[in-house]
Amino acid sequence: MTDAQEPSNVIEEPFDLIRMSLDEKVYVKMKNGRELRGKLFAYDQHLNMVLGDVEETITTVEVDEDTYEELFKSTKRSIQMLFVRGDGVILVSPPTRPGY
Amino acid sequence: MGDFSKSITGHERASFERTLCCMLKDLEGHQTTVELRNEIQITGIIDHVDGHMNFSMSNVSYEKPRQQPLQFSHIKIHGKQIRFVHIPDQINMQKAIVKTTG
Repeated sequence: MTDAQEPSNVIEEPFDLIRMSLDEKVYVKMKNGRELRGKLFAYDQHLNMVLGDVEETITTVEVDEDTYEELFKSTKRSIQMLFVRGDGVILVSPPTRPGY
Repeated sequence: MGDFSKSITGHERASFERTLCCMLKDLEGHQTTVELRNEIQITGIIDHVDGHMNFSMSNVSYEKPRQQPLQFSHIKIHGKQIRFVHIPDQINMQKAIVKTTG
């Protein structure tokens, strides 16, 4: 870990990628089929994060008993400001561009 | 309830200073909702947060999905069980982050 106080634009390690996404919209994939899309305000080494204007999508798969076909259901909800505990996070990514 | 807040271990202080836990400390005294890994939503006033993200809350409404909420005067939540903490609107995010990182 460098001691430099000024933010550098060089990407040396994965955390730098997240640092680049500060103040930007990010896509967070979490355990249990949850996804978050929101503005990244803060993060730490455990991937605890503070996200603003978050939209959470929970996706569940139900299997029809007779036809065995898979039904994907998703529920969404919006939260203004959310603290996320890092141990539930799988990945963090800039949202797909263009258009998001 | 004994006051354990005074006896903070060195490990816990490091935990506080190096992670976003210190920002959660700012929420003490505010009403908010904590969501656990088992889908339970707990709404109440935060009394104390420690370095392990353990919460103690009062005036609590404890809600399991699709069930009637239970009311408790006091509850202690284990940090590892937490999935989300809703941050109330009154908290100024910029100030809280600058305070903790700056």
